[in-house]
Amino acid sequence: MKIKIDGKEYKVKGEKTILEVCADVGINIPNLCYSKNLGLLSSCRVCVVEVEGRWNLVPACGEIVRAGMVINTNSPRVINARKTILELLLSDHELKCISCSRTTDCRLKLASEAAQCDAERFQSNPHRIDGATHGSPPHTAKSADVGRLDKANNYVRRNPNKCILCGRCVKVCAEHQEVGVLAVNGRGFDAHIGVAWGNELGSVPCITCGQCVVNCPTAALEETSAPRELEGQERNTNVEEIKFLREKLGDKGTHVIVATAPSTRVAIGEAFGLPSGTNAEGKMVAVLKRLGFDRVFDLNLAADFTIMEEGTELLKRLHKMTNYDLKTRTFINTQFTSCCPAWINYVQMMHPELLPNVSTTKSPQQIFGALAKTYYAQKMGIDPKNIFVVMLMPCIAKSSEANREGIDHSKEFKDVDMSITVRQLSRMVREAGIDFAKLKNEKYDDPLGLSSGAGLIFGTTGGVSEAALRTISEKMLCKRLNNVNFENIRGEQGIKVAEIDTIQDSHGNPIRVAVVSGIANAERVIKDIKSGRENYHFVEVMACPGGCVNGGGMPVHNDIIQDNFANARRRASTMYNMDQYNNLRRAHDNPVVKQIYKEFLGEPNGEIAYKLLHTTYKPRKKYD
Amino acid sequence: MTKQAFIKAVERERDGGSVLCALQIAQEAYGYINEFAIQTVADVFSVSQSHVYGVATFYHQFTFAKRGKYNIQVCMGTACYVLGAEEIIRAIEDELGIKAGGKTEDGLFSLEHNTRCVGDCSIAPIVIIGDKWLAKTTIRKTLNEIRKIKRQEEVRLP
Repeated sequence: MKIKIDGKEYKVKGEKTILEVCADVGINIPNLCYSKNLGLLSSCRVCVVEVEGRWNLVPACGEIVRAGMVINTNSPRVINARKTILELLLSDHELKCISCSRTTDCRLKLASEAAQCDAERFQSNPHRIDGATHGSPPHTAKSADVGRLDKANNYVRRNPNKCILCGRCVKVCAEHQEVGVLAVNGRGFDAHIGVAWGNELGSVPCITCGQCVVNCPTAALEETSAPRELEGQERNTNVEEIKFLREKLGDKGTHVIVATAPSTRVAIGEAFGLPSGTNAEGKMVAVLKRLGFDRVFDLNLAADFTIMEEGTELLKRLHKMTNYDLKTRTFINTQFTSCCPAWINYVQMMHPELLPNVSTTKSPQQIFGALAKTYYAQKMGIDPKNIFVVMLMPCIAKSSEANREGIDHSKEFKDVDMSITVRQLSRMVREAGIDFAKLKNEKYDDPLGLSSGAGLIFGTTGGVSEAALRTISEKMLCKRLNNVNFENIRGEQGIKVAEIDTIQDSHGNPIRVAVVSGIANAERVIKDIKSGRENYHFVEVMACPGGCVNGGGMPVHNDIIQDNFANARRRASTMYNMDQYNNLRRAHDNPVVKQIYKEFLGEPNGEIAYKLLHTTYKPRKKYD
Repeated sequence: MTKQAFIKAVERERDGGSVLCALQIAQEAYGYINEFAIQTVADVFSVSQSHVYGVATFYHQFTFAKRGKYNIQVCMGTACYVLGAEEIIRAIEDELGIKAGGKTEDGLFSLEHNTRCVGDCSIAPIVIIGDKWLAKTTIRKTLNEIRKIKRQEEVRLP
């Protein structure tokens, strides 16, 4: 079919929107709310274009092209309308762009700059800023979050003064995660994003996955890293947290070590203009050393430990039959993974009955923290109180995990002192003026720097299961597998199911594995198990769709058609490639793992391992 | 309405009804939307409390504080407005010593804020006190009605 855009004729195949067709031919129509993963919102109206024969302007994101359509994307009417719409959005915006954490990747700022907006053209009564509404008192009893910073939740901070009411966060929370703690409250001028009873995020069952944050076009939602020293203090921006970390790095009496999560190495480059999925492991290590971390370690090593412990735990469970007991309403033997802290938050609040079935093995982050403050401290002869453990994470919930009740092995200090996101690190790098792309590759430090490909693929959905299956299969069969790729649990589908013939339970049945990403899919699998439709021995859950590669702490892209899944896909494929070319592909082959078990931990699930590498879970209240 | 009866009523709404209808039952039963109502509707419909609260705050028919025994609505539609609805509201505020949106201390009267057009523009301006409609009303007529209710209520008190 033929259509005309700005006077030039194009041939188009298939069902496409004006926005997509224009992007294909190189016309970038600015938009704030459209995301390929979220479906249509059409709330910002910035992408309006002129279609001949239509009296009103149409949003390009929601209009499917038809044969013979004549589209104008840069007529004076369109340009003026776009400019005015952006200026109206800016009219009640905070306009603190210079001191904003998203100043380099704010969609609103980029679009407004391109449209040459006069940010102060409309001086609206800033109702969302000071709490006063347009002439009417709040008609709700507690419209508390009108105009207030929401800091009750320690890990996700909301700033309604920067909100453009696009509704992306509401949609991702309700539809992808089915948690639904965010909603649009009020109407008209009083409309704002809020939670039940106008309370703060801390009083509703927010699992802090951070999907709302990576989908926010502005800085209305951002992550906070909550180190214990800063607890209870007034922290308005990420700047204070970064400053806190800088001071630790500068303090000679503190030994600051950092461990990098598997998926961070394939994403960090994107914050500095490298294409998504670039393997920037060496540069990332180099930049962390430049920033002053005393030692840079690899979290993949801790992931190898997770496999040893979780795998052993699964082998124990396999000796019993798997099913759901209708009488006691408990799962007798399904084992759920425990690596994803947002998933643990979810289970603690929504499904406390599942807690006995969640693996007691700590996540790699906490295993690393525990080892750093025991084994590493002993080996180096440093008082664990003087070691400051930082985690570089693609995740916001990891901060909540570091502060979770009962996670630390000792009452005197925290195992993990601070967990920062890839975005926060990129801000530190920018602050320090380091040219990331020019850095020479460097290697991880000893003794916690060697890891296997199995640990690496933890960063994508299916990776934990694959890593575990490599180890368990070889243990069960007592022989080496020629092919350790488990292709049928790879890929980005929300629910992947596989039967593994090489491993049997006590009844001789091949074990059934479900790999789940996205909490909405987890809920589906839980329902299937409860109703008896499905039966799994091992269920891997990652809260973010696609796993950590699509985590809440990942760099935000400002592609004209935002597609987080596509970026996640590229990151995942790089990781699988890196694993493929790694000589060390099994957790149990890792010489460092063997050595630490021999020198320090004893055997997997042994007494010391149990004390350091395992935890227990308590149910939590949904609403406060 | 007992809690059990309310839950039953909401469950009936779930099959073929909507969150909105369930909230209307709550508004009718309790005079306002309370926490129990939001919790129940969220649980029965398997949606989050934030979602139910969002729906409730969208519609002006729902309130989150208990109204007075006599709820006063002064229509602010165009016809009523040009015929002096604004002045009537100010006069009622002075008479009762409350602001629009508030409630008297004895719980007798509440004055609703910004009532949308009630649809009887031919008899504007309109004030609704409790379930009594005052057509083509004036400040004097309205205040007389309020004072009459006050006297009646005083007699009733021992």
